[in-house]
Amino acid sequence: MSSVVLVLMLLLTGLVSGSLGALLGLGGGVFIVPALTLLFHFSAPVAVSSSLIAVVATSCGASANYLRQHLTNMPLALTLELSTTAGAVAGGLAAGLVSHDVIFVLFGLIVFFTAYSMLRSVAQAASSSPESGDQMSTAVANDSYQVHSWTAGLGLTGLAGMLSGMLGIGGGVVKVPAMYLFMGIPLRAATATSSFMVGVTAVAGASIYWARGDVHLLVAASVAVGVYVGASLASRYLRRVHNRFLIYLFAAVLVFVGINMMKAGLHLNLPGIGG
Amino acid sequence: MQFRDLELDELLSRVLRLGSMIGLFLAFVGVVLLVWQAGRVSNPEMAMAYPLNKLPGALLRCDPRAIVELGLLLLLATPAVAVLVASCAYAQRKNWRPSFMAAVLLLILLLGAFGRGL
Repeated sequence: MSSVVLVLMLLLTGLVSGSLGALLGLGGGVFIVPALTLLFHFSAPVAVSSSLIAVVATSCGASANYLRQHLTNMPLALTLELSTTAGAVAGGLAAGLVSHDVIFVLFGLIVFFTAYSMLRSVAQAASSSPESGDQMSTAVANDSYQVHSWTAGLGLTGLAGMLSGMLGIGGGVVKVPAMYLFMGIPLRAATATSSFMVGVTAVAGASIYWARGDVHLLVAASVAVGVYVGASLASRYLRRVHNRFLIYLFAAVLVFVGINMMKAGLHLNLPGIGG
Repeated sequence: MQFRDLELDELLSRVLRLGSMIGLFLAFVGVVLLVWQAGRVSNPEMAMAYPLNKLPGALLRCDPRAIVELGLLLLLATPAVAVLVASCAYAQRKNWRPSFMAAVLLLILLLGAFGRGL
């Protein structure tokens, strides 16, 4: 494959991943790592490091918007980031010691969990009362919510950091529920705070891969530019997907991706992408 | 819990937007130049980052690989700069707890990055 075609395909991969991530409220990592490993056949470390750099790019764009809307709780983000960043450094170091197959299998499990979270959010949206949503919005607007269960929050976000450093994902899929369900942070504030946190976490993970020489400059730069442009365009011109059918469809796609990642990690000969 | 600091939010928003856009712009320009010269560089060479001490020399030669690397390094530095700005801003307001948290966070980031010889 010529360099021009490779760069164009990587830009397109980033563009699609960034757009899908913005539409579904996810980081692009769950799409980038499978695409780079299963379709382009890059090694797991190259895919993970490129994904982490792309996560930094999308986090900077998204958290700049959230900060302008004054939704981000910076003191909370800085406190939780202590355990998350330490987790990301540990995860990045651990990734250099374990087999790539382990990373594929873990990634498959995370993709399954992401699909489950998407389906659960549809069920929650159907069952939640408009009143509770109004109360939470008022709490965010008045800056009046209480943060509790710091130990659980620090533990879970530390785990999210470790997964981020190992697998190249932002970890928002763990951080947002941890803040929302365990620490009592309203969902919008949790999403905004997590958006800033994932960028810092990804920097910690990416620097470990960089030091190990696992960053492929051309791949990382092309994907990061594509993801940033895709996420910016999607958030500006497209509306976040709330249609149940589409969410079921994307959850099915994630399950398919997860199966293929597991298959690659376990060396199973089942039909699917990536041989 | 009162956390809102409108002035700091605006400042951090500008730091994140500006840093990421400059970094990504440089990385993109470097990729275009690198692909343009693709006939003269082999694929493995296109992938490799320069050690930090050789980066300034390569930048002075306008080496596309060094331009990509500078762009990615600027991008990666952006959230860390935001944490540094937050730490200084909280210290200026004598809000010591978040200022200290941010300083420790920066220390962990620096240890992660340079502890293995980036």
